[in-house]
Amino acid sequence: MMNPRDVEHIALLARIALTEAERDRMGRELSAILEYVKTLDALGLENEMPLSHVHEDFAPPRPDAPRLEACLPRAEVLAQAPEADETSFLVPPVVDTR
Amino acid sequence: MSRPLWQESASTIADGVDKGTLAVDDVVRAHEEVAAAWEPHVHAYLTRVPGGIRPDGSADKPPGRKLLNGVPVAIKDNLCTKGVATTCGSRILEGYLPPYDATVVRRLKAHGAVIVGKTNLDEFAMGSSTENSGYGTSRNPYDVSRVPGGSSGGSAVAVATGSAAVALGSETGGSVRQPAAFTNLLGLKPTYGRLSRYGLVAFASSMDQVGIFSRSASDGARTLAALSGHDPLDATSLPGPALDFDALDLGEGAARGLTVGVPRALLGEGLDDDVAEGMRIVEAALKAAGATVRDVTLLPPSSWVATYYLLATAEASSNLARFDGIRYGLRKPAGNVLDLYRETREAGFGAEVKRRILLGTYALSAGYYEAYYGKAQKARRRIQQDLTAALEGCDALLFPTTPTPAFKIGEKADDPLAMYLSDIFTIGANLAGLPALSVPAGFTGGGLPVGVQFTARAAREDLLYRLAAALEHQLSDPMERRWPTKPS
Repeated sequence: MMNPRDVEHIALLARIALTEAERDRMGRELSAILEYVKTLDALGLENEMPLSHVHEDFAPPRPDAPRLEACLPRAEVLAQAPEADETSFLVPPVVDTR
Repeated sequence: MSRPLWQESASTIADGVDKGTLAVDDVVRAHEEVAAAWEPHVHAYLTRVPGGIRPDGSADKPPGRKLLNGVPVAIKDNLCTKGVATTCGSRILEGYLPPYDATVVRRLKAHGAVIVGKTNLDEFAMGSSTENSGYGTSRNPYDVSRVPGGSSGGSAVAVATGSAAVALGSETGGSVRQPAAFTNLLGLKPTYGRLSRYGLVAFASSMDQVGIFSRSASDGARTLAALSGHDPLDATSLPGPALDFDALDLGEGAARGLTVGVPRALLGEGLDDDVAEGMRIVEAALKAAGATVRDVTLLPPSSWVATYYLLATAEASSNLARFDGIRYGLRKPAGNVLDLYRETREAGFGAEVKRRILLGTYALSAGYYEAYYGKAQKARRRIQQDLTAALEGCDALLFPTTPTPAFKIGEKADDPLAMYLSDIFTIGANLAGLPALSVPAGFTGGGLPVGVQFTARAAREDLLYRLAAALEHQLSDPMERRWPTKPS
């Protein structure tokens, strides 16, 4: 079951800030869901192979060539950014240089 | 023509426009009037485009004839439309204008369709009622105190009220079939890979599929034919050509000789009486149409729900990492990158999206991966094998779409697990990648629609629409449908 410290840890991994009230509520709700998924134990899955893609024989490799029709004009893409200059997305400094 | 334009089928509209007996402007105006009258009551749309997004001549040429000339289509707001707002029902994408069209949007244009607007949804398609939309809840036109279902609720409402002839939604766990059942429509979840996901904002990529709402089998099959066919821009797109609409027999004998399996044990406890009655009506009609009905067994669907909520949330936690305030959408400025991410996502995401990201992050985290995500992947194989085995010797399976008709707004909003269980019958097809179609199965005494669904083997959507067409011939002409009544 999930205690408040677990919730805080995964919230940090998920890059989501939570208020204390949200943290407590999420802990309760997620614990109820995790309790429900225990029903899978009844299936006896120890020797089953995992399935990650429903059509395992599809998604064949394609030629190693650029798909120019799927390339987007840089200016149109940057126009959607909260902050950008002519060539780049702008972000706060990643390394503190003070 | 004896009925108003907005009640006409996509087929009648497309044929009329082809022959020059119908003007696209008149068709669009008639549907816009319906939208204007209904919107204050149902809130189907997040963006309406006056005059519609018309094919502009730059669209690709379809391989065959144009199938949707002049047909008004509504599309879920998680499908990218170039230069037209695409919010996914989330505040984190408020004001986002995609620089490209989804492949299904390009194909709609290529077939001559007119996109009338973008429809409301649960945020990032996570929900079963539209109550998780960041922009307000849509309402069921058959009873505006009830939900239209979700997550593609707005698209369902658009087609049910007649502001669009057909609509696109998307499914990860039942988000087209469940709202279709709640609003007297057909709702198709195609085979995984049948419709391109290019430009569909990702939720759980191993299950996401674009789906189709229609008022008749013919309109649904026509739309699937227009949109299907391999897309090189989606690595999971099935090879092969589009569904051949003209080769499909949707006549009175469409179900003759087909065998339908009914997992009888699923029809036990918890099933609403009206839904059970809908099953009886449909079984009898199938037999009258020349189909054989026999019993089959399936694993309990509780295992579907448990598996789904581990896999879908794990994939979502990864897919939604892209909404970080850097490249598009909302940004909450902060002194460093970590706080910028955390505060942007805190402000931009609603409670259900946060809940699912956290659950998925937990299921994938060190120490828990095998116990949750790994186990769910194993369960997924067992479920796929189970459904495949049940389909041996049958052309399709038949069971309810939902355990109950549309529930009240607010009824399940504070109980995430109860909300998840409203998808209990739809999730199997998503986990197994199989096509499934919800079809109308009458009304409750209180006038709420009921739906049942067919599931077939991969790439056999043709069988689903044949069964649906046979039911239309037996039960009720979709053109003489019971339309919802607008509140005064």
